[in-house]
Amino acid sequence: MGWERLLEVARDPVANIRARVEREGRPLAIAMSSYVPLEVLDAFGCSAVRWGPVCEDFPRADGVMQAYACSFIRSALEMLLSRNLPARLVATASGCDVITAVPGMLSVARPDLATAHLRLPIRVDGAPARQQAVRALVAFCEEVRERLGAPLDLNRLDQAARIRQEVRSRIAACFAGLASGTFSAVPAYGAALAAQSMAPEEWLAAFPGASALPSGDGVPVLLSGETVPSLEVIEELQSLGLRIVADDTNTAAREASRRVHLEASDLVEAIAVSLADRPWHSPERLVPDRPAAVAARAREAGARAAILLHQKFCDPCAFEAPGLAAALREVGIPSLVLELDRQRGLTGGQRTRVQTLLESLP
Amino acid sequence: MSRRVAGLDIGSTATKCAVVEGGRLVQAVMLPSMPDMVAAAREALRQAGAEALPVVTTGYGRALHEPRLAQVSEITALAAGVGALRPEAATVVDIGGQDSKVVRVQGGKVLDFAMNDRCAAGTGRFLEVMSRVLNIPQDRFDEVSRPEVDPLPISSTCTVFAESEVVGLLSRREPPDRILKGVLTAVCSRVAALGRQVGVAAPVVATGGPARSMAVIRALSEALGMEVLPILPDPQGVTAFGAALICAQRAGA
Amino acid sequence: MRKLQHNAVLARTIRNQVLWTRLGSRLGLPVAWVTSGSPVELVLAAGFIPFYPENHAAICAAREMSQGLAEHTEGRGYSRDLCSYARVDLGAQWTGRTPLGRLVPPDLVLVSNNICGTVQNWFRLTAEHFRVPMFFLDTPFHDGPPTDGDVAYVREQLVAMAPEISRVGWRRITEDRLRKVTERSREALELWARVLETASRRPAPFTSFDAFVHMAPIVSMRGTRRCVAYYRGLLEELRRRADRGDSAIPEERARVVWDNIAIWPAHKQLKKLFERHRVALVSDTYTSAWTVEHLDPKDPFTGLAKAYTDILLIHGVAHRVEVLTRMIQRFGAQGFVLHSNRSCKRYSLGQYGVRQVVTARTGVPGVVIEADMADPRAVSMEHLEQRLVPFFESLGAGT
Ligand code: SF4
Ligand code: SF4
Repeated sequence: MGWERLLEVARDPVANIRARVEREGRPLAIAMSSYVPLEVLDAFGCSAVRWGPVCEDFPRADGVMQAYACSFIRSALEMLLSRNLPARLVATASGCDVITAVPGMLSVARPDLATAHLRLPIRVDGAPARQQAVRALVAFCEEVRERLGAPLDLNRLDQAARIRQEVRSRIAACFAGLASGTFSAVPAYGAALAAQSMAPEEWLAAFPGASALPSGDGVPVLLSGETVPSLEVIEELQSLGLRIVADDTNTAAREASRRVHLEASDLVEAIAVSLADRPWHSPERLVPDRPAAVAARAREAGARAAILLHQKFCDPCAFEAPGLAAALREVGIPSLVLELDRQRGLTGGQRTRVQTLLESLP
Repeated sequence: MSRRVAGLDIGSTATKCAVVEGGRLVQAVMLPSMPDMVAAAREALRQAGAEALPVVTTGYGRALHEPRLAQVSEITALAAGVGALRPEAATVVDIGGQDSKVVRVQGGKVLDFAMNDRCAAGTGRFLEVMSRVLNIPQDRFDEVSRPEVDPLPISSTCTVFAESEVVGLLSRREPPDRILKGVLTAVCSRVAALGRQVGVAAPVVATGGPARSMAVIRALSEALGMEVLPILPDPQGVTAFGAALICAQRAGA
Repeated sequence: MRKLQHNAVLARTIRNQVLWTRLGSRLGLPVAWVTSGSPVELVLAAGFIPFYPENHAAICAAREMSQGLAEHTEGRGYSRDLCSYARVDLGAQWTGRTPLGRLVPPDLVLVSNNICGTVQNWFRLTAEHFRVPMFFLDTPFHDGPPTDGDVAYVREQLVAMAPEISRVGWRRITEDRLRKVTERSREALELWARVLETASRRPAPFTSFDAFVHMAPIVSMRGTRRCVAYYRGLLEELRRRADRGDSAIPEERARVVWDNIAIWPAHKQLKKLFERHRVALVSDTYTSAWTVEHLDPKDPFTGLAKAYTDILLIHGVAHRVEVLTRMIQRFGAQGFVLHSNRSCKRYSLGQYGVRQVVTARTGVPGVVIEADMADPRAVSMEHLEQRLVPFFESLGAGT
């Protein structure tokens, strides 16, 4: 139990998902975006997981999709096509141009698999966007109901929303502890990665608390990016002499920042609004001041450098990178883009670049 | 006090060892890294007579060799080496076997750098592939690609596409010297693109194996629009030399 | 085989448009930079001169300027994996280099993500560069028809941005003006659809290689009288050609259709390759993407909302299959070519599945070719020939 269990799941999510489905005997629903609220899939009686890990080879995915898509989606496709996971439903949410192509591709390559797409707005300002998010989530629920033939259980939704929120706030607390040095990165990312595939009840039971795991030495850095592909990447970065003090990744702090107003009279509506109002959005949404906000956070946490862990072929990341680097530079923080492509860890060249960055800090 | 120390650059294709004493190079060795990097490292040290000396390792395989005083990245080492050989240099362009780098330097220190990984375009690997397709060994580049030769444009930078483009040109009986010139231009324009990310400032020096060739230096100068100076006679040994200098500093030698 | 007279007319029309834009801007008319899928009718009604950066990037590519401009953008840290139109146009903005002589700076930019996620970033950078406001129309991606909710969301945004756009422009957007512009848009679009339709005649008097070029006015002058006049003339010429039996290529032996944007760096060579093999490219999903239905002069806002939430690229695989299947049948094609365009993920990802299903439905074979619409470094004529020639031969065409 405890950290051992969380880290074990974080290191081998696929095995854990398989075991979990066997144990729970419920349909497996895979969410391919942090904008798909897992609590809703829970409430449909699914074993809900979020796809996070990345595999290194995509022989089957390459047969159904061109190679100029991010490896995050390619590896998810690979998993689904290899039938390595007993998935029933794949849920996507509007975001980038890669993810929107997924349901269509699956409809040809895995017609037996149910898909549901959450048509979330890209703009996140103001009432119309919120309203659209609500409409989109209602339509999404309808789609899932139809595909699975199971109703949305509102009691379960209430419970699931609460417990998922609890998980998110504890993960957020772990990451808050990075800056103060009371918590270290490997368990923090381990907790976040484990939460993607574990049942939330099990996660909470295993989670020992967000304190008293002081971090080691190292140059304080900010880590930004969409997907943290594995715990190994974090360990590798640390072994190069850096210490993550602030996080801006979808895997961790961004997703954990979402808060649902649990006392709302209409919970579906409240969940939809929580998606539009997520404090820390991903760059595929239209949030013009994101770079400045990230830079401010990095500075507050005392970061001296930043690593932008981007997926190769991820357009939102690639468009954001120069502006984010400039915003960070403005507050005196040099940064480095590392593009991840078909690999769980860093390449030799990337290790060299990280090391050079640290060696060249004043 | 002045004693001997070593720098060991375990690269993906070649392993280089430099021994310095009092800031001066006294011994340099270069061996192929393959098939066994660890053995190559040991052998290079042996041939340089540096087995018992304090050593700083660098390069792709820098973590593979023990014992060592320290390991530094090849970019830091390169900057240190250039700082000693060409203190006035503001930019170093290094064309390596698997990757290329453009480093802004000052007084032997890294100011900023850009490096391409993964994509073979703009690296020695690209030249290697083309040299094979054209059947022109790399040490004959200077002889074939003379200044007056007019390059044929190679538009693709993807190595696979470019290879079929070159094959296409050959099958159309285009002269190989013009194709080679086109290949060099293509590689250097990739390196120049890398340079734009950090801003290239004069004076520019070039290092790495291909920088031995004057044809490459000319193409590089053209692509960057400014004069590029080679570091001769051993553009491939600068990194090992830099590592040795860092070693001297850290060992207090 | 006779050259289209309208090639010369087109050149003149485009030149005039460029001059008119420059002159208008000098006279103080406001300029709006817009995406191809944006509701340009709004800015036209407010008296703006529209400018299409996508079109501009295509011109840069056709005039062999795209590589240098893209490299400039890459030098600023923007990845080579991004859309080449964006890289080329941003490069032109930042260097001031353009085949048009001079770029007319915008007073606002108008963007809709109904074509892709690229434009919101590209135009945000544009708005920052010129320090002008950006108007963004968020259109939900979907794989079926748009829902009433989607249309309501889009309509709401249109209604909200109209007065803001009016404020930057020189006259107010009124329903009346909108109606007039919409009517002209619709007219031109109808004419354009009929122009494209002429290629269903045998032999085809016009191919997609011509359409790729002659679409320029429908993209960049839609909503104006000159645009309507242009297509009226073109349609007449094509009808005459068809009646005379004039063929666009010498002795047509096979007919194929195309998916995705043209390959501008290899446009001429490809056109020749098709001609040499006597293959007529009779239709494509790209130029026909501008045949917008729904535009409704009676209720312009709702009509615009519907039209702009129902264009080709907002839909996924199922819709593309429909479009291609219909096209193959309508134009009597024996094969189809899918240009897997590295730059445009929205257009390209999913094509493998499209190919499979379209072939299953129509019995007609398809081929995928890898290229890029504007980056010559990602286009290899050798690769294109290696793929296309055997394909043409399998259709019974050849040199
Ligand atoms: S946002 Fe980026 S990483 Fe995420 S699915 Fe899209 S392309 Fe992939
Ligand atoms: S990504 Fe595609 S649709 Fe978007 S601007 Fe580029 S070419 Fe056009």
